[in-house]
Amino acid sequence: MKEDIMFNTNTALKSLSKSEFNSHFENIYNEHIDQLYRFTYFRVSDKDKAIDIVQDVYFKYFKYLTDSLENEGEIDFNHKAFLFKTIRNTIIDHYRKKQSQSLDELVDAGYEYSSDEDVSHNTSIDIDYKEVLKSLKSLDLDAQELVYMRFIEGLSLTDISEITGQKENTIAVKIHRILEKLKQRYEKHY
Amino acid sequence: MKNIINDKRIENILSSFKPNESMSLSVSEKKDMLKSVFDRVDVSKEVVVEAVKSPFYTYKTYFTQYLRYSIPVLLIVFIGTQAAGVFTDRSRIALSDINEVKSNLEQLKRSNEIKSNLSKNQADIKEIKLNLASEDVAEKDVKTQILASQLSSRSREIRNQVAALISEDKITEAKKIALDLESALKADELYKVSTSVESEVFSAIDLRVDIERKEKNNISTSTEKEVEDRIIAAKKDILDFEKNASTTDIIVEAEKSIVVSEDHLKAGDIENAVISLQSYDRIVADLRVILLP
Repeated sequence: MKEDIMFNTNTALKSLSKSEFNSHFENIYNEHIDQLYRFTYFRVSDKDKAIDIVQDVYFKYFKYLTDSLENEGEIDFNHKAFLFKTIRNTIIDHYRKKQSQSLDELVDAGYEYSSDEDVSHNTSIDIDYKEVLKSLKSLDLDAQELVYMRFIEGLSLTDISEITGQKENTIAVKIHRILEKLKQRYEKHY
Repeated sequence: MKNIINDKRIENILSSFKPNESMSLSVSEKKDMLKSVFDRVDVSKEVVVEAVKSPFYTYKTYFTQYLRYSIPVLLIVFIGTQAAGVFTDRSRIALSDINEVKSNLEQLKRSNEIKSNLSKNQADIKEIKLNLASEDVAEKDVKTQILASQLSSRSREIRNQVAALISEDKITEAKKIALDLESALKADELYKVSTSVESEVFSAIDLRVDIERKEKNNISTSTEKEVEDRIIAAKKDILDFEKNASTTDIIVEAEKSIVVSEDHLKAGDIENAVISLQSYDRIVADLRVILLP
């Protein structure tokens, strides 16, 4: 991964000046900010809250980087997974205070169907899309989150495994079951 | 006519959900966010520098020397006696593991002791706060630093004890204590001003989330009966809360979680029944902190 090359292969990290270190940090920030913000907004449905959470997580990440350098002299971890895991835990904390689950409304959260196929002129695709969306909303929060990470943000099984703390095989099986469930719920309507 | 949709088609539809423009941050918003992160990092460094220059370390009076040396020693003794207590209890549990009834009794006793340690820690911190508030010598920063360090070290101790329970697969007890710890830390005003307490809160959340995940993954044939029992117990607790608490909104939320759990249980969906009960447990842990005298 781009950022790992940036941090892991540089053995003279400790001797970096403040501005050089900040520049490395900025690169990683720019690399993930959009994905992290979308993930957070998708979960909390509030732009200001999402910005606060993402800023807070980047601050923690900066501290973690500097502490790792100070204590271990190197930075050796999956940055993307670390950021997602921290965001996820912060959001869980947010949900403790606000029990509503805004994950329900994909479209309301700023997502739209975008494919090479023209939905407006193809009734069958439009129906498929609406039915899948309806079935998706009926899944539990964990399942929706897995679908989001795997299909909408396109994260790898390895990344999802690190973020959720579950084995890759378990994730793969869960995703397979979710697809089966979606398929059954879709077919039930016909 | 039955319409059949294949897995690949569903995958394609899911992968086609893309963020629209309203979901993107503008370049200036991203820059502002980055600037805020750097500013916050700078501020946190300044706070550390100020702490080093504090009169607490430069002026040597009997009081500051007492705070610097006697309290840590007392703290170490306190932690030592607690650890010794835990190890003694662990041995006791091992010896009394002759039959299930005995073992369960010891287990209950031990988690009660850890819980009472948690309350004792909270009481101690309260007392230290009162003592420090009455002293004019120590400055506000110094007081905050002392309290934060005490609170953090005690929290770490409790987390270690919870980890010991998890390693023995006593998930239910571990979860109760982890939830109490998390709620207590969050309720403390130091959570908002001290980064060490803040990071303790996040560690406590991580711990609790891990326990919940374990609980969810440990579903077995006996879980259904356990969930039923937990729902019955939760309903009794709610009646007690309704008598004693004025925070009705939270009670209503807790009740909702029980109803949802019951519905899942009736539908045979044990995993979601457990998840709803976890939500109930979190709400109740917060409620208990609110009800603390």
